[in-house]
Amino acid sequence: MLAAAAGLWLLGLIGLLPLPEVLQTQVWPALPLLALVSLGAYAFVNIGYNLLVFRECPEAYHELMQEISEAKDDLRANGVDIA
Amino acid sequence: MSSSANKYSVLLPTYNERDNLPIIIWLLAKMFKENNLDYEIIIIDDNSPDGTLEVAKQLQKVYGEQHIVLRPRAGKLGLGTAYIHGIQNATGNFVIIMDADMSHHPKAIPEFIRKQASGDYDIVTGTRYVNGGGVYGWDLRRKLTSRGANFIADLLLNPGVSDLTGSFRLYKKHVLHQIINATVSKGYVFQMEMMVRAKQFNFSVAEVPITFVDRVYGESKLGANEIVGYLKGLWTLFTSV
Repeated sequence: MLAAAAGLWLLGLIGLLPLPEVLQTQVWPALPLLALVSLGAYAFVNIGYNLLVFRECPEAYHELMQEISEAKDDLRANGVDIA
Repeated sequence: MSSSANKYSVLLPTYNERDNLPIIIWLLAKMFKENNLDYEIIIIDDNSPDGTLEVAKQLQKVYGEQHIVLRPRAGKLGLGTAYIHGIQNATGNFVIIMDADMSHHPKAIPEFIRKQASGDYDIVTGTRYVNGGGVYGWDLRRKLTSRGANFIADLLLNPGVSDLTGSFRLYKKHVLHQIINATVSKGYVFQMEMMVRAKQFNFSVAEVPITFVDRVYGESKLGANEIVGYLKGLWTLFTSV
């Protein structure tokens, strides 16, 4: 898809597409840059949003800590070498 | 979900997990027992110098050879071959892949199993990035890296899974076998490629939220080398599929 878009753009650039004069000279050459900037903005918004809604789970940590000490006691009682 | 004919084989590749292994086994055994599930845990230790295998042998005495299976290897041979080695020895019809460092908690496994049964899914994958999931112990840089990695992977490969770099998953055994044989990447990209291959083969994938507690014992490694390796692997994958 990317290759098709690039090919189409090249054809337009060298004048093989029936484009209006203004589009051909003013808009067409800037399209790749526009695509790049759009992609950058999309990445920024997407990653930024996902960072904002990133969920922390301290309750899972505290639960695990409790289980670890329980496990250690139990395993020691069963003869497993626990540091 | 009580006594059915299903058996679950957990593959635990280990390297220097002496502190973590006993506790993860304890948690797994407790969970399987409480849910009345048939299971085995296959420990694939790559000749850890810290004595992981010795403690594994002690655990085998406690929980029995039918539940703790030891399949050590001569040296560090990589995750992909560890899983292949593990499946060859697995007797269950389902295989669970998880990290041995307790960042993946066995409490999610009954959810995986319920989810799998609800739609006869080929794969159930844990995700930290949907409601009910979450992460503990990550700084902003780590979060940004994870989010960035998922974004790029999603953009390039569009595998349709919300947590690509996660590696807590339940597979039908034959499905895992087929996927692993098709997977060529190493390191962080390995888990991701497995999801891409799953999509190629048209396997059905369901997601379950998981909580992820960054490793308590030992260091979690994510430096510039890992990031560069990830990007390289991603690019190779993008240009090859």
